[in-house]
Amino acid sequence: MREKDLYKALNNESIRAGILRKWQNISRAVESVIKTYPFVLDYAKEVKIAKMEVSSNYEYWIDKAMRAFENAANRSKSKCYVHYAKNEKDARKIIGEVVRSGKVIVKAKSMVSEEIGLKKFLHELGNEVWETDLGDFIVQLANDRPMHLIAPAIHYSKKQAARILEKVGIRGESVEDLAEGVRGFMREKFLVANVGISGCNAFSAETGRIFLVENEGNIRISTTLPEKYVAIVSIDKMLPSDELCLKSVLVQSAFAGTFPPSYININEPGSQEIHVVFLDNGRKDAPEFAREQLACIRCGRCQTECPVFQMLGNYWGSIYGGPMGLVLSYIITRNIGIEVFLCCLCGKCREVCPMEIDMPSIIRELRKRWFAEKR
Amino acid sequence: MTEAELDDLLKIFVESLKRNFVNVIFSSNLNADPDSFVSEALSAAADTGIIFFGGFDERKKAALAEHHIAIVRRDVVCRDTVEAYKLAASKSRFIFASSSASKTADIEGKLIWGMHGPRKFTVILEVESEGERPL
Repeated sequence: MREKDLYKALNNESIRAGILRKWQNISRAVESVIKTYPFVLDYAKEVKIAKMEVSSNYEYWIDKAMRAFENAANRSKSKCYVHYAKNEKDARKIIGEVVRSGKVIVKAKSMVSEEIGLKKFLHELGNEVWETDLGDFIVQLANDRPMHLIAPAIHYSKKQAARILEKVGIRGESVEDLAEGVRGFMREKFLVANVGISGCNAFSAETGRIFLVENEGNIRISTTLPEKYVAIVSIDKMLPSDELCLKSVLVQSAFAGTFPPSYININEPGSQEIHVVFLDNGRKDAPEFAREQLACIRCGRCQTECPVFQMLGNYWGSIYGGPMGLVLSYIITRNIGIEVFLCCLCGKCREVCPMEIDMPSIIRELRKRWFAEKR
Repeated sequence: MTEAELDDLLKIFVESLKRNFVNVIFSSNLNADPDSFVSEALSAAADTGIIFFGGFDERKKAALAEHHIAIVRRDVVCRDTVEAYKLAASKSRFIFASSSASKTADIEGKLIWGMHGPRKFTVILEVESEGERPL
């Protein structure tokens, strides 16, 4: 986080306008979802317990999950491979060797791919890389960064989005026209793509299945059409069973305010060449005081509700912004930046988190450690 | 499950589908062949309206179709999504689920149907006799 970026964010009215619009819509939507589908609260509790158990013994669960995928690959007699990356450099190297150069790559929305700097790396290898989620596509064309975990282009108005999409010849005045233009543009890319890349919302250590939840349909196409598919699985996405994975993705979409999700994709070895890349990147040895953050299901609720995030968006933090981002970035990098002091410790993040992660306490501990380090 | 219990379940399922903005056709003859991609559901969840399908090629077609039509037999409607998942997983190795047409709200939060996947999603629900409406 750079100080000048914070001023840039403060002076950008559309960041505030976008996040506040999302905040109003999502708060009402989540409230209504919980009222209609109260069982998601029970699912959330079960998922939290399971995630804490998995994070207490990642070595065991990584081994179990990798074997589950290998067994599924052997049963299907398909070309499926499992890889382990200790850090982001390892992950880039592995994926670079799988993809090589001269390919058309369609990417599903994935924050973990942002974490490892994948798009730039694959582009430098000589590949054509396309973000296929509408918001991420706008962000890619604008050479910007995703502003929110699940709503990356939240900070662009319709007018700004239209101007950005003109770069690839997509024109339109209404949101309907713009979406239709992107649909046509992306269909051409999907049909010629050699490789599809996604993250993972939940990975079953029981069967080796990859669970992905979405509304646009781009993940289903990106992970089904190309002959080669790469899934990046950060180890905190592992769960002991398919049932818990299903519950986890249902809770994620409920707390994102879009329930039920239009699509649940459950990918497993079969008709494609699949590469699953497990990524540690600091998670396995996370300090005990911050381990609870590894139960996060990335619904983005803590970001939208945070009064500081509402002012600064994702400029507050690194790849993952806002309350969850402060803690997860620390787990990944072990660096404590001055940005931990921007948190106002109001506790709203903890209040709305479906996993009830005590982010304010962890941030308080980060502050103490910052002082100890600087002394 | 008794007939009366099944009827109650179908009512809940149809309510869930309507909440998901899904067009529902009631039919006692499931051999009709509408001019779109048609697939038979492995299972369906009454509580959420989430419908499970099977097969890799089916998933490909369902992803690219302009209009995805799901045929749901009355005996595959389950109480909840976990039960529906388990039933689907017992029938096929490749499972995927849909609950509506594709959608996005990425520009100014405005809801747009038909982003990358099907523009329309229709459910043909099997009923016992012509004219029966579970809602």
